[in-house]
Amino acid sequence: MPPSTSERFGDGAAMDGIARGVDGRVRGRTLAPLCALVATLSYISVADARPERIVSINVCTDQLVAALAPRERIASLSYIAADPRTSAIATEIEGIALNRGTAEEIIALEPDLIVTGQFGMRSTVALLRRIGFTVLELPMAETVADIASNVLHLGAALDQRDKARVIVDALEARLRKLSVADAAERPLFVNYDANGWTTGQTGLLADIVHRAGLATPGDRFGFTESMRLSLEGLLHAEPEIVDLGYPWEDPPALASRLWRHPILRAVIDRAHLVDIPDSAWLCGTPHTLDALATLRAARDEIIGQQQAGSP
Amino acid sequence: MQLDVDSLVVRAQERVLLDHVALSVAPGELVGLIGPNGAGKTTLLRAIVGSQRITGGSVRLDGRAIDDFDTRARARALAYLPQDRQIEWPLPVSEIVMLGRYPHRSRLAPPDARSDEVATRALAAVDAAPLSARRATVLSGGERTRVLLARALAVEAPLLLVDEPVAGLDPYHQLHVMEILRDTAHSGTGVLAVLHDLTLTMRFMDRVVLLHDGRIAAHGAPADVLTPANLRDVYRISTLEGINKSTRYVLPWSRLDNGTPT
Amino acid sequence: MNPIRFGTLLAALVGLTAVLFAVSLAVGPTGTGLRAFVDLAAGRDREMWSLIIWELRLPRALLALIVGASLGLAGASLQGFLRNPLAEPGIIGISSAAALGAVIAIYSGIAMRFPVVLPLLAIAGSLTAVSVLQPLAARGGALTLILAGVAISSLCGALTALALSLSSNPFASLEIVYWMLGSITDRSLADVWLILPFVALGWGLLAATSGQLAALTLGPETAISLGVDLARLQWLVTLGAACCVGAATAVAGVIGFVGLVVPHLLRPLVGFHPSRLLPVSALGGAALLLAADVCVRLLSTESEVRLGVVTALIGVPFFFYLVVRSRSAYGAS
Repeated sequence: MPPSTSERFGDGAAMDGIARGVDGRVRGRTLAPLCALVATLSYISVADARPERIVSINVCTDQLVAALAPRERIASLSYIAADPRTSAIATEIEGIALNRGTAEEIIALEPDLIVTGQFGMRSTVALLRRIGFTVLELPMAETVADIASNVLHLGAALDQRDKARVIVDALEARLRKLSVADAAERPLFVNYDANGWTTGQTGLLADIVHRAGLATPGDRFGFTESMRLSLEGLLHAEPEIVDLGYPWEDPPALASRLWRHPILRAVIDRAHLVDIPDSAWLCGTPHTLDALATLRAARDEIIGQQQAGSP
Repeated sequence: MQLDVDSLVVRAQERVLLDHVALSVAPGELVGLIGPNGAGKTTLLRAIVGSQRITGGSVRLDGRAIDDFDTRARARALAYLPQDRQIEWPLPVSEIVMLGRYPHRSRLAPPDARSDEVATRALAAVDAAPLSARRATVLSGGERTRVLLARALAVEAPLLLVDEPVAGLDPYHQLHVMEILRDTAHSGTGVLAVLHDLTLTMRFMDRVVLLHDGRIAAHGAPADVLTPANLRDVYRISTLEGINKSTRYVLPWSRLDNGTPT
Repeated sequence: MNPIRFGTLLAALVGLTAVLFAVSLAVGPTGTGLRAFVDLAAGRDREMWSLIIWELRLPRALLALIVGASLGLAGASLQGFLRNPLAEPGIIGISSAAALGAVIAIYSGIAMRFPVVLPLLAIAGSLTAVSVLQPLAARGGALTLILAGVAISSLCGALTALALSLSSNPFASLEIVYWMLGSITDRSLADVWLILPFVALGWGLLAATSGQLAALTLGPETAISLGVDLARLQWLVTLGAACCVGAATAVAGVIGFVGLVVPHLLRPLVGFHPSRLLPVSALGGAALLLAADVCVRLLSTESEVRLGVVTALIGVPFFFYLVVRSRSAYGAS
């Protein structure tokens, strides 16, 4: 699932979008400088203490906290962290208490540090701060570089600087290995999601696609933000690599109806189908590079076939 | 076609609306059905037409029980002008009259020339030929009654039942409608008309049936039914009687109980 | 005002529908106009164009045709039977009840395993609504019918929202928009085949009412005396309208006002004859929905403009006009 899930979910599902740590990118970009400042200030204020009861209320920060902090210092993670459809750590967190992000249950957990994403849950965050809790808001990763800075930032706040450094070094090494420096040829990759949403030119997903030496529908058709692509548009775009979002078929919704459409089958038949779990690019985490690895392998295969076909 | 009603009983929710009522209408006869409000006049017409369930007794057409007729045959035998004069859509008058041909037409057949001719004749019979192209919802009361009467005549049924045909009409149009009914009867149709106007009843009817509380209080020639005694017992009124050019007439004059509740 | 000759009107509407059907096949995001056909004839991208036309645009055009015709026909029949020009499936809650049935079928997962349950439950919903409304309409008149419709719409809308929010699928709760405003985007021929038998049954039942609706113009007493079997007629209209509205709503969501606007515009052209109104309303409904769907595609921005939005923008002014005009009828009821 691309980072702009909540645009697709719309305001009606604000809770879901927020709890998943993803929110409207439009707001995200305009507010980014201000939010970075706020985040830095809050970082300074908590930097001296070593938090022992950490509570995360956002699926993206859940995954970073779990990667950085020792288990005994994690008081609670958001319930979405246990959902394998959206979280890469669902199987690793058994035994950790889960929360639904309401102020009341967070207060009852008596945390000394609350971690969340920068957008959404504004009223909960404001309330917790007013009561006197320390809340760290991490900006949403818009690029792979943001992942590294988020890890370092959180590592400092959790007094886990060394561990953060190790993670970031590994991440950067892997990134160097997987990135296509300057691609002369960029095959089209379409991430086709529920209701036909697909990638524009900006955001974490687009950054990964670009680094893999591929083009997004936004590059091809000239739109920046995520957009809906009709089945007719998808077929006409003739993508070379396709990834389908999680079909959400149990229980079903109309959003998944596209998955059964004969046109989609025709598109898949003509393309290289990859299977990247939504959790890989829903949040910027070290796992995000798994998506890059998959895409890079697919690209290499296609380019190899082309070269073999036309020597 | 002869209409015979025998010991007809209609009961609805434990109330007896008609209690062993018998009457007959012969071809060419104009029969008046009178009685105070709630006496059961409309119920009787509805029972004959088939829109009111019968509890007991029989309705026969030429000796054949009415239940033996299928709905279309029955609709062709009995034309009915209900009290309710609603016209829902602003159809042209000619189309309204044409609805009378419904029982004669097979479902998918286009309008035939004969139906057009019958409808035109029916409209002429009520002196409404010039209204033919008018919208039925913008007619005056008198025009509307005559158009709906033409609709009933267009069925060309041997029997015509009309419920309060002159209600709400001015004297000119009352006389006009009564003349149409008389002419219809005298051209061979049996006509049964519910009326409230005793003067018109006396003047135009061949025979009169007086209903009271669901029972027949009197029947026979108008002069034999509209007697001071019958009108006193059934309507609780006194009447004036007179003779104009050798024709007897009757006028309701005053209430007998002076309005005190009984 | 002279009504146009019936045959001429029918032919004109058939022509209009055919033209709009062709336009609907020609319009799409990948090529508006004749490009698809030109390319196809020239053998360019033959495989892709035939997929686009057969699997996407044809089902969409067919659904617009079928759903529009069903809604127009159901509206005209209900108005003829209830003798009320405001009796429109969307306004009096029949469509919302159908949507509730469809929502239960889809989000419970039953329709995934047994697709036929989808139209069946939608028809069951609309059948329930019509059955509740008819005795009220017979006794109460125009105002009662509309108020009862508001009550049914609100109840079904609330239950639909409840059913959607009970689903653990995060997309479900947002799809209330679809169910309230309708859409026929990205459907396949499977959807057409799914509803066609039910729609055909509904059309057949309503076609069988036509002569009898005219007889009802003078009220039920006169209709009975003309040989109309009212109980049978009621049964035909109830089941016919329920099949049409239920099946249409099952695949397209609630699309309001088609059954109001189309009969209203065509009534003077058929001399207000309730029977002749039925075939022309079916054609007019098909033409209106085809045109509305082409508009949706031409307007389409990032987020789709819903079909029901277009039909409501067209329909609401007519609704107001009819309400104002029938004010006197409310007094009478």
